[in-house]
Amino acid sequence: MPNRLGMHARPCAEFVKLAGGFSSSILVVRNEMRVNGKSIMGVLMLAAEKGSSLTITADGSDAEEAVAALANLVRAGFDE
Amino acid sequence: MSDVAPPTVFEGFPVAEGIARGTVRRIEWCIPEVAHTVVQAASVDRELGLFRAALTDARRQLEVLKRETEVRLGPVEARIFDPQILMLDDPDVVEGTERYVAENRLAAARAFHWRMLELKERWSQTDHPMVLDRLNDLADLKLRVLNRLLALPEPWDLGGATGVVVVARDLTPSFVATLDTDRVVALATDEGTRTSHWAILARSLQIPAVAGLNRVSSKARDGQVMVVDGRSGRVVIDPDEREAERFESRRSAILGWRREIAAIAREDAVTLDRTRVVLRANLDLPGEARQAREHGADGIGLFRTEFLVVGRNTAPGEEEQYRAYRHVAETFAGRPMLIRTFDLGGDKFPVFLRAPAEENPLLGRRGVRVLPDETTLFLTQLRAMLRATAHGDVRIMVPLVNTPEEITSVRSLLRTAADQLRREGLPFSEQVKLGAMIETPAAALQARQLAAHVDFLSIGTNDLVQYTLAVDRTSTRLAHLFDELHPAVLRQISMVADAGRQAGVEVNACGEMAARPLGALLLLGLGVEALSVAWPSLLEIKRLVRRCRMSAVRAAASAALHASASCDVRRRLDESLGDVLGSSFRSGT
Repeated sequence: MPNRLGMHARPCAEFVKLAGGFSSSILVVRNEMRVNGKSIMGVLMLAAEKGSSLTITADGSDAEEAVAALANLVRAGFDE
Repeated sequence: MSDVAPPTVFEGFPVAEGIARGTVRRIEWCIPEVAHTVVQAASVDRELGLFRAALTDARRQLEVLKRETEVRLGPVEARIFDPQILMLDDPDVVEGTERYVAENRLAAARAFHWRMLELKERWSQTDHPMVLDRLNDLADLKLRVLNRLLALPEPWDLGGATGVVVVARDLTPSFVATLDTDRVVALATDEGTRTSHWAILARSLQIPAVAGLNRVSSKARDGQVMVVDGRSGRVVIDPDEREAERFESRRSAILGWRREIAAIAREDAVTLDRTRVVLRANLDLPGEARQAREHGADGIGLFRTEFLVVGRNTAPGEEEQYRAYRHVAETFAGRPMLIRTFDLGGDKFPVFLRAPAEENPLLGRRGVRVLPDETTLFLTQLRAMLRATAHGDVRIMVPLVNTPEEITSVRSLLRTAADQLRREGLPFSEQVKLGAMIETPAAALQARQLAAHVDFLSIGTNDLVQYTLAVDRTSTRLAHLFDELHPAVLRQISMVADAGRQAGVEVNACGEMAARPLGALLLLGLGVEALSVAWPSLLEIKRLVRRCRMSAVRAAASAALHASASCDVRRRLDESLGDVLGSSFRSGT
């Protein structure tokens, strides 16, 4: 999580919107917490701060594409 | 009656600057109590229908609120409502509620109330400030949906009063976004933080606000006089004479500072020997245009458009872009607005373009180099920019140009856009100016050739320094080598300024260097006509300009051109311009 403010509300919204565009189911894991990547309620709860690491897994026909795109979004620091 | 109550003083977190005195108006709102109601099996479908209708209604209201906020405050503030809009589609919220209705036969309001309570509990356990802040958004949404399900009235009615200080346990973004700033002068709350969404909106609206005040909402009474100091966090109920004096002196100090800003902002950027300097503002977001104008910008010297693409999963439409460009053009009616085409690539690529990873992105596909592969994206942008020319002096600027051919290709795309608009009967200016950014040594050395193809040049000092010295400007280990006073940089700036003068095209400079006193004077002395800086730096640079003689600045700059190293540049400038530089708000460099 490179961006300074971490995964605050707007990045969470961007993440969920992007995730929602894929048909695969998406799981995001941080420490012990596992949440649905398409759920704003879940992703907000991760409270991922700068420097924290997330594991994104997807299951479905566009799984690889989904993981690549979401990882890209996070790595780009949500372009903030 | 001598029965005057002593003043009550509260200390909280300042969340929005400014100071105000007004009359307390308490807003008592809470999540409504929802009775435990079980419905007949036959009514389950009806309850599910009610729930979905309430969600649809809430979504429509939030979309309206988001649009209105975008118009009133800008796109960043508008996105504050995105999490709430997403919650309305969230499986955790929707399916969870529907399950309680279908399986437990709870009434829709009760089922939703329960589900939201569970989610709140789950969030509260994380105990993280980032998450706790968002509980407020959760409450905002819950209130909206429950009010609809239970047919309750809006709790936010302020009546017709003016000079109101709103006092509440907490506020919501929906409430603050719609406040009438002619009537509400300040906000004071028990809960909330600087990063609460409502606090962010209060700052944008410039309503003084203090949060985290211990039980102010239960101690204040409607009609009491209250002073709210949004800079110190101090709130006083029933101010006595001493407190009233204190308020007046704080207020006049703040007003004095604002007047000083306004006074410098109104003055011309003219040197002591009557040379007029053009000072423009850089803009990252359309919403900053207002501050730029208040700080006396002569126009916009660099309007970055990446806010329209970064962090989004679809390309921005023409209308959205046109609205944003038009907003700024109208804010600066009659003054130039230099707007840059998307500067993508390098370390910033929008998700929807799915760019392949590059070994060395800063030397890769970025700036104008992206255009041949993404003509649709750029054609749409050029159409929106051209349409904005009907509302002001909009000029188009192309990033990272190295060759005249790159300009030619943009021109041809611009012609296509113009032909289309003409056919569609949409108004635009046929005389739109096109310029090249000079950001590489290749462009600086070829500035004469480039100048023949454009209407203006703009030196992007950040990249020019980075590419000239081969030093990554984000590297902290190399920070001491990122030196904008390096003689190699100065000589290129001088070449570009000369090329512009000979070709009769304006040379503008944007970048960090223009915002630093020493850098600004050097740029002007080397012959750059217009500087563009972030709006908070405008007044400092203007003050500097008003205190110097252009003849001395030119002499110092040409002496600096002969320096052998940047320490030598600095020494020569200090010798000749030390008195001017010493008087600036910050010290040199």
